[in-house]
Amino acid sequence: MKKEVFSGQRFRTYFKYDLAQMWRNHMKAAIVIGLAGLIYYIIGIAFNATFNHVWQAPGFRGRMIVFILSAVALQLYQARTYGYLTDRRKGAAWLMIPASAFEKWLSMIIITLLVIPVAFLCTYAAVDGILSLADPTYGKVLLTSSTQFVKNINEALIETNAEYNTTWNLGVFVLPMLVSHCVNYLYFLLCGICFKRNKILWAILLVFGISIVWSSLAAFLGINYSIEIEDVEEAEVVIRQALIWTNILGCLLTAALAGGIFYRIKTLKH
Amino acid sequence: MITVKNLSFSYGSKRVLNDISLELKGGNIYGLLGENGVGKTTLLTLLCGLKKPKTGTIETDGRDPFDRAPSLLAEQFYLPDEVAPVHNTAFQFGKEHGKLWPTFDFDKYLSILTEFEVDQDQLMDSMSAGQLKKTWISFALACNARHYFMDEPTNGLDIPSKSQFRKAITKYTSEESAIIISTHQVRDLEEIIDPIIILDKEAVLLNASLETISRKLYFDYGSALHPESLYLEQTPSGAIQVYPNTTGEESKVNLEALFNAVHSHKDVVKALFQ
Repeated sequence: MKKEVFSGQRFRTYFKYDLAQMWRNHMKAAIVIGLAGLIYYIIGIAFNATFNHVWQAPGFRGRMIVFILSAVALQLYQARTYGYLTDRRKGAAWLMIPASAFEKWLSMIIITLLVIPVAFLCTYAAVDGILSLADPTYGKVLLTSSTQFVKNINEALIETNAEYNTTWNLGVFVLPMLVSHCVNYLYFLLCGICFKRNKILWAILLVFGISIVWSSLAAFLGINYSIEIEDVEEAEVVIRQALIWTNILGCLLTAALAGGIFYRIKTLKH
Repeated sequence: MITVKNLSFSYGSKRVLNDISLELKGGNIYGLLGENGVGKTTLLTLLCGLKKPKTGTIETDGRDPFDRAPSLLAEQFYLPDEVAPVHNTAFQFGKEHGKLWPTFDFDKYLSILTEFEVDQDQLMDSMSAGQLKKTWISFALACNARHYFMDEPTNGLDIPSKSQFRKAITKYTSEESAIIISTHQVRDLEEIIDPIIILDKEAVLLNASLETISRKLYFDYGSALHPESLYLEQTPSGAIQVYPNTTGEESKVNLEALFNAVHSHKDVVKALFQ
């Protein structure tokens, strides 16, 4: 019975297959998103050469914005990676593959939360590195610049701690970022395997819908988010509490979304 | 063995199958016949676990197909009417996809592809509908499954391919396999399907082997008219008449005539085969 739920050998075979499918079917889109930095670089160079008559690569801020936009685009794209499950022909063929719902779910989660983001980061970093080596006007790679950026924030936090007797460190922001990553990716994945058409659009509209309903409900119930803070020490307590609640809520949302994806796989019919 | 007990299914308020009971045994190629919209595809998708019965049960060797247990999925193959285009060559598709079925035989797959004259190096999503279907049929047969559910497998196949399909089905499936083929193209498959299941709106009108059908009904290809005929069709060479077999004499079953006879005299046929 346990073997019907999970078998290591069967999972390995299925995971390799799933990876190969992902690579074959979504490689082009992933490459385009991963090459956004290069596209921005070419546009920036062309713009400067045409209008300013200089060979000048785009600056750090612009590159950082493009990187963030690419990361957002990749999140939205999750609505399409397994979107074929709602297609009658492809979805039926997928359901009939001899692997358990749990194995298919696990493979989906690993690919969505780990493989795709890591592949994206590697592609982006590689392109960034090559451009940095090839063009002296490009400056440092994003990772180095970002590290410097993080160091600056850290130094600012240390100064704040010394001045106001607080205990901030960057570590407290790591978990919220990871949780947010999981929630966003899983949300778009779930929407992708639920909506039949216009998956990305429906996913975005649903977020708007939920926000509107929640805001209306909060207004109706008289929930007030505003907090009066007297001093920095009190602010730390409030922010730390907010972070804890954000983490708890994020973890619950992640679990709910992952559970929703499993339920959808288990009950999908064609 | 596949056991269906009091199976009912509906799409919203539209009932498609009502209180159907069947037994499908290994070693047979069942022909599932019926008019458009009577629920042949629905029945096949229920049998393979793509849908869940509203009421009643389906058991495949004692297991519920909707559980989609890997051990059962490995023993069955569902071939839909419209197969999925895959962005891969037929060769590579067999190599990668085949690993998922423990009993898949890659050499057999290549042999069947060759018999079907399918270009192994062509991308499947650039193939014609017929070529794509033949690739999927080759794959299905190479899976060495115990239960096959095939929905209109000869749709889209050219005339030589239909003959190749008949040969492949008899050559490449195990004697223990239960093969259920839903079709409107009875002439394409009448040489291989036996027993015959005729579905009507919400019910099974007939589920019998050709031998039993031939024992109960007589298919007369002569020109002398019989007033007791359940069905009469004039043909260029004479006529086909179907009437109850009272002499015990054997005759060749004509599936189209059988289908029409069953549909025009449902109660008589039901009573005959009870």
